Amino acid sequence: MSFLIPCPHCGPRSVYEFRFGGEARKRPAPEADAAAWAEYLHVRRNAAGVQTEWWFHRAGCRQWFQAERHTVTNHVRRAFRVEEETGRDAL
Amino acid sequence: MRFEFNGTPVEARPGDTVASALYRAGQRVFSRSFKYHRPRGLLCGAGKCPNCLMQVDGVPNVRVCVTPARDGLVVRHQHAYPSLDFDWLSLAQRFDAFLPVGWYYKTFRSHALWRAAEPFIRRAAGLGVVPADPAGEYEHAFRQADVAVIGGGPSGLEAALAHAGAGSEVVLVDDQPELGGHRRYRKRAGPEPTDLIARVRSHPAISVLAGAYCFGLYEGNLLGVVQPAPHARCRERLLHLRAAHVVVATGVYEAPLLFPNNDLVGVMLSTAAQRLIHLHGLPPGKRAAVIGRGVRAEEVLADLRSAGVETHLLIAPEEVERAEGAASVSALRARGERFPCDVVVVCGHLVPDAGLLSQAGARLDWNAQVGAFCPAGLPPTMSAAGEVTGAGLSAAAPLPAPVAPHKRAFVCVCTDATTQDLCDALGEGFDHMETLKRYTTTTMGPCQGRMCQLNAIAVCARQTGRGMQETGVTTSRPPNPGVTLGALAGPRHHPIRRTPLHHQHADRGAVWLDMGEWKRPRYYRTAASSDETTCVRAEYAAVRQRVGLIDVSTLGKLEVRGRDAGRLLDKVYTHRFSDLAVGRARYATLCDDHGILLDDGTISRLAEDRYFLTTTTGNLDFVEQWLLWWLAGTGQHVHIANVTGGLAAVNLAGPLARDTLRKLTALDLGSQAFSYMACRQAEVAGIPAILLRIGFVGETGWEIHVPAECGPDLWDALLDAGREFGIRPFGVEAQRLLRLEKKHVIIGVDTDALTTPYEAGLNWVVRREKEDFIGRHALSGSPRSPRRESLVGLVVEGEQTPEDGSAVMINGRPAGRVTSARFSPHVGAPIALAWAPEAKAVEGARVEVRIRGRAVTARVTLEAFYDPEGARLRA
Amino acid sequence: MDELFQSRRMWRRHELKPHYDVAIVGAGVHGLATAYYLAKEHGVRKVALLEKGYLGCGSSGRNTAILRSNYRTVEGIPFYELSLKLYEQMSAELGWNVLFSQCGHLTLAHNDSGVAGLRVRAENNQLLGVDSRIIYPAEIRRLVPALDVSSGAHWPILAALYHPPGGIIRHDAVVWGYARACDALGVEIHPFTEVTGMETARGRVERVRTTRGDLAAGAVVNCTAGWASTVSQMAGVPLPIVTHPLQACVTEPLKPFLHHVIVSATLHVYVNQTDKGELVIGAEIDPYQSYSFRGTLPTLEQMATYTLELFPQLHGLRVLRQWAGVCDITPDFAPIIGRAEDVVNFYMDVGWGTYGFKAAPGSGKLLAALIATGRAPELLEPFAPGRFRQGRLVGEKAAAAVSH
Repeated sequence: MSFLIPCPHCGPRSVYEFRFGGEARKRPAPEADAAAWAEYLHVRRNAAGVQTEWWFHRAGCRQWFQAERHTVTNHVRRAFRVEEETGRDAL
Repeated sequence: MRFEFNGTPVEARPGDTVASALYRAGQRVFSRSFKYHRPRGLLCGAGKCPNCLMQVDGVPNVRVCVTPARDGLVVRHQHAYPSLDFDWLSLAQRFDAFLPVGWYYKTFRSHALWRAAEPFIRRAAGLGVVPADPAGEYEHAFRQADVAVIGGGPSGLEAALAHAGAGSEVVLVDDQPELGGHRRYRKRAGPEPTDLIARVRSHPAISVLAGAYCFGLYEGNLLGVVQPAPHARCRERLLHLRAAHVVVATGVYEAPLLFPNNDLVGVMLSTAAQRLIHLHGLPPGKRAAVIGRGVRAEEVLADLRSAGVETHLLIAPEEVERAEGAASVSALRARGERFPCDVVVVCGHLVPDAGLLSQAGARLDWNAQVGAFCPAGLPPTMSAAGEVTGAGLSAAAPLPAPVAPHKRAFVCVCTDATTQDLCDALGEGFDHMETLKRYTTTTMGPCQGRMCQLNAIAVCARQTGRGMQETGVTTSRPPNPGVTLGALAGPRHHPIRRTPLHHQHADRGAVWLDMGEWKRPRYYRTAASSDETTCVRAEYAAVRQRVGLIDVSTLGKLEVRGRDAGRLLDKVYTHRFSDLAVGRARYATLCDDHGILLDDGTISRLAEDRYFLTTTTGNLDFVEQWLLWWLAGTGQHVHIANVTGGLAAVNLAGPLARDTLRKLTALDLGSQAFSYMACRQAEVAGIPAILLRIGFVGETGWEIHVPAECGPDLWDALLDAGREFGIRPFGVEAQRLLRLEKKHVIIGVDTDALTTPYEAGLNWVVRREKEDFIGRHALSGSPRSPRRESLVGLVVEGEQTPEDGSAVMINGRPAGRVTSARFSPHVGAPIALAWAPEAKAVEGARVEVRIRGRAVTARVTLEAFYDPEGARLRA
Repeated sequence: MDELFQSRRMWRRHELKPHYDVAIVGAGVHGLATAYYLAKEHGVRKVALLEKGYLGCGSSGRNTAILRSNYRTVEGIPFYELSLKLYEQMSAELGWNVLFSQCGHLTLAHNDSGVAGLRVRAENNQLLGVDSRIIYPAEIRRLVPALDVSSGAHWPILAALYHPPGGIIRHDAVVWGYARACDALGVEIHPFTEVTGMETARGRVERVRTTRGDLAAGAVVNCTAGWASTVSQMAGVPLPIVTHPLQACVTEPLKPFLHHVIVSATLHVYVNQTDKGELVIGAEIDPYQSYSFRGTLPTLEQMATYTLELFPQLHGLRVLRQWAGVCDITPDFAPIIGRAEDVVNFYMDVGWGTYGFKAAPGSGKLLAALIATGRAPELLEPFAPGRFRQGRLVGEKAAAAVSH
């Protein structure tokens, strides 16, 4: 009920219909080196600016998608379905 | 119409507010000030200042100047003892020299001194008293519009018509009982917009919410609007109004001028006097001194005269020396003269009511011409119309005006901060508006800065030599005006989930346990006993010796289907499932990439492309979303359906479970044909069912899932079939004891947010040889605990059972905790699951458990307390 | 008494100098405490506090000013207890009343697992010498008669963790008191001086760029909240932090009726009544990452809903304002304090989540010791920046996360 997210399936809806899934990040391949895994597990960009992130439309289509949001203004620039594997975050 | 004020009846006329009726009845003192308990009278007459706060029908801090008088209201004064006219604590003002700004910071300079003084200061604090009445009906409503117009004055009405004319659907919100804005009481400022009002009222695309106030503008143009008493059974309704465009036409409000004794009873703002005259037919006094200049002051003077009030000539703000009077104003001193009067009418600063705009990110720029901070840089989804933009205003008095520090020139009427206080604070270095505000508490009282902000900025600008613009305003925060907790909370709503078997349990005397929204039987009372320990022991005995039946419908249940279902489960769960044979089930655990245990359950393969998953009760949503997440964007062919609500589930367990079930199904239940960890689909009592041969409680048993609507039939059929074997339903408490004897872990009870499968003793569920799964990297190192802790079993010496959460100690130092403890009938001693240092995770090691402050020895055991080989489970 | 009538500047203005022994980014309560102890206990007086806004504009002035030390872990309890003790002495030490009201702190449990969670804390608290115990409805009713302890309530109150030394403090007074003391010790406070970048070379921060000019410092300390990631990234130090808003609100004043801090983790709400009579109500962190300081209506509604679950009689009480702060959340809900692993003169005191204010004096004192002596005091070791890579997480998260 505060800012709106343009769900790619359902259209603009209040953020409180969604569950936040964190920064979209690339999960390293299983054989990737320890540094890549350490970065994935223990570093967050935590951008004060536009961030690509995961959202789940809990009170709507119940689908995961990604959105580009400015984390200072909460303005959502665009939201889109993830067509191929991009990256993951731990919830 | 008649209401009660401090026990005395007061007559009221139609259209009266509580304040206007009291004023007519001769009441002049409406409140006592916060700090010095100075008598205070009507100041703004518009619900903006703190001067008329009273307790109405038990509700504290009600602004009676905007509260419609109603028959039977019970109105009481607050914050004065014994009465408004005589208040003991008004003695405080005699000592104001000892109470400079921040005096409490400087006076009680030790913890002990403050501890001694605080209770006395605290006793004097506060305004209204806590009501005893717990009742209060509130509603929430939701609405969308193309355009929302806030303010029903001429500009708002015009904006509404313009937008409606352009094809928009418009909602007009106005906080007055009738439309028309300031023209209702500023009769000489222009004609009443009767034509505009009629056109707005009749326009099909405009809906009018009159008498409703907007308290905040939030992200995404969400407006919070309160409608008082929308119908007889509702105190307030909170409307969530979302508009594509918002027009703010909130106009201006009037703020006081600074001069000594500017707070005396009888000193009132010009719009308050005009409201009394034009809305209530009340002359504000007998003889008035009017401070002001220009057209507006002339207008006020004319209004007063036509109401029969004797007036002096206009007095310019710069000429004012002070107001005089004891209980109330008796004269105004100006330009060396004394003007006797019983009311001083102040043409104050007109302040654009731009809070909503500034909440939305607009700037407020100082405009010396109009003597106001005017909105600028509006976001594209908003506009402003009318006086809120500063249009048509002229400065009431030059700002920043010369301000002499004075202990009786009140800047903040809410907290009694004076020009002296502000000047002192500025001298101490609190020279930024935000720090000045926090140190002096100016703008932080019930008026939310309306009466004081402009004057405080003026004092700050003057003393620091900075301009008004550079000094700037403080942040505007919603809600503004204030809004009740009741309206915000809305109707009290407590959802409860009942399983399909709920009434079966109720009929059998279930004592309930709340698990999230679910109700589950904790245990069942019987004719013989309703004592928990006795009943649980009997339920336990039934399962261990005969057969028991428990409702497990609250388990999360998911169907995962499709060509790639096995692949997805291999990726997400730590175990492998693509190689699970059809007709088999497997224990399943779920970790995140840090290797933290998130959930557990069972996964059964019903067909090549069809898996049936159970999750813990509380984690269903999480697991479903987790699976969907790891599926998103992979292009895999998997469909996930949450079937929890569609299925009832029971667990039939005990050495005679097979004999019981055999009576109801054609399935071969033999331990070879239907072995441990097998699953089947078959009819039970004529009902299509999924049967899983699993055993959380450690006995031969089946978990049976059937369509929810058939649940009661299955339950009854099983109890009938088991009667000859002494079957008994058992509740969660017996189940917890049974599983504890088996050392079966409950995720979230025995584990926490940092537990890995290794620490929980579940090494066997992690298939590290799998090519990839969530958590593999973290779990691929040594299967040791990063915290060097292990979940172990304990057998406790002595009779006393530890409570859940008791400390595990080594040499008197905390070294772990008990997660679950019960008295075990099988062991004949208290047993527990507990976190202990890894070094103690050795069979037979000794630790101490703290029971009611006493250290008791306990022996570590790594095996299950009951049937460690699992022979009974597999039988 | 003299001081009562004197109007003397609490802290002076200074020109920014080109070099300091220690430059602290963020003049909130953590930065101030660190500077204070550097100057007072270690004689390091060439210290600059660089603050981008007014003094106390960040989380130091936005928190709900609750103090307690009844934490859960053996690492956390003595660490917070140190601060609580320092807060008790603070008024006398600074000659300035910080209005610490040790009114007692109650954490409510509404179900069995909640009670078990409180017991873990009570047991560890008692074993480590912190005054904390579980009390039951009869005693709760006696302490807080206004609370709805009826068994028919939807959220029945089964027990509470009672922590008598806990309470509330005037957060701004702590900032001002520290600032005055720092100023007297020669520490320079630079408000409206935003750090915009850092130059690093050979594993050191060589220069700090600010909106008022550049400077160099022997040690650079990140004491920010909400901007911890941004400032650390300037020094090339990555962090595991995510930033979430945290909201609170305050009501109109009522005659005092509530003399304890009331917290319910299940209901995600905490309530206390100030010495002015206002109720201060706090929420849990917003469910999404953001740096926005705008309050939201749903969170305000949630605070109201849960407050009325506990105090239904307050339905007619008005909220006067709501506000938001931003919190840096770490993976284990414990702070990151110490020297960066790869930048030798860059220190951090960040990741304080929602509990930074409670620990400011202690962490400032310990961090000052680390900076001045090069050795980390034992109490700081569990919070070292390297713990995530080493997998040595602190168990406070367990207390916060096990709510089911």
